[in-house]
Amino acid sequence: MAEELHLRAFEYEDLELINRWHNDEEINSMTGGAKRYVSSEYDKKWLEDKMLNNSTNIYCAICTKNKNKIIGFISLNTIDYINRKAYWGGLLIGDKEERNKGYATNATYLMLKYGFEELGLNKITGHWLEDNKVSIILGKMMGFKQEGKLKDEVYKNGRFNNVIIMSLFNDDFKFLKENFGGNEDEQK
Amino acid sequence: MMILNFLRKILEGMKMNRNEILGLVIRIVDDYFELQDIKEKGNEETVLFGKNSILDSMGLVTVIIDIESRFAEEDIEISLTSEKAMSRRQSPFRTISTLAAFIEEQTTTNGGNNE
Repeated sequence: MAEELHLRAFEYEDLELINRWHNDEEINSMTGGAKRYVSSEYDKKWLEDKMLNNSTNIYCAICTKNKNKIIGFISLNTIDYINRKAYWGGLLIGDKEERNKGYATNATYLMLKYGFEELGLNKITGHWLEDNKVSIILGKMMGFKQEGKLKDEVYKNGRFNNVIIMSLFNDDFKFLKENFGGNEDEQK
Repeated sequence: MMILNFLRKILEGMKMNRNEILGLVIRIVDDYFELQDIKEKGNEETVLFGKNSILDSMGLVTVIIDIESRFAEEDIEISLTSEKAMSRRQSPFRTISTLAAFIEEQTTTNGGNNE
């Protein structure tokens, strides 16, 4: 069983790892954005922006609970507090030694819980490359339902890729909480 | 042996019962554990989805796709990633036991044979 996780705000000490992950070919191939070469100076500004302007875009470091070691990061973007919705910014387990331990689903659950139960969101919408079958299946398992498909939306890996749009509503998150978190509230 | 029994059942045109499905799911999960060098053995209560799961996200999807493939090889159509499965209040993916029950339900609904 994987070690427990917690989310925390970014710190300056995270910069080196984040810059390494932003430039990782393997990670780049699975994300929706275009491949870019990112300087450490650029990432320093990127990191500061996430640390200081965190009301509508919330980025969190994913850390193992015992070691408090950053293994990746996760985000909710374009948070709309009036309509109580946000975009799933995605998740990255950058530390390759920490992959395949169940951290991705656990971190996703923690961020969704934060979005629905702390920020009071009603809907979280995400975009996934159609080829990223694992993420799409996992998204569906977490309760996301497909709302549409954008054809040839992203040029990546030498071709245009379709993008699947899926959303999770607060009502469905309650079911996820029953299935995923069990009786965690009672255990506190 | 479990796989051979499974194939024999198919050839005989008979439906698999819950225990046989359970056995097959455990076997597939154990295969994944072995492949990943995970020192665990699956049983009915093995958690597949949730914070206590031994499987990582890739592992869970791999197991699900493997199960679908094993049935598809025998022309038995089950869809574990369908909207129907995913939208259930009680997720069928919680444990090996709940997944086996869901597969049994699907094979019953789909006729459970090569039709």
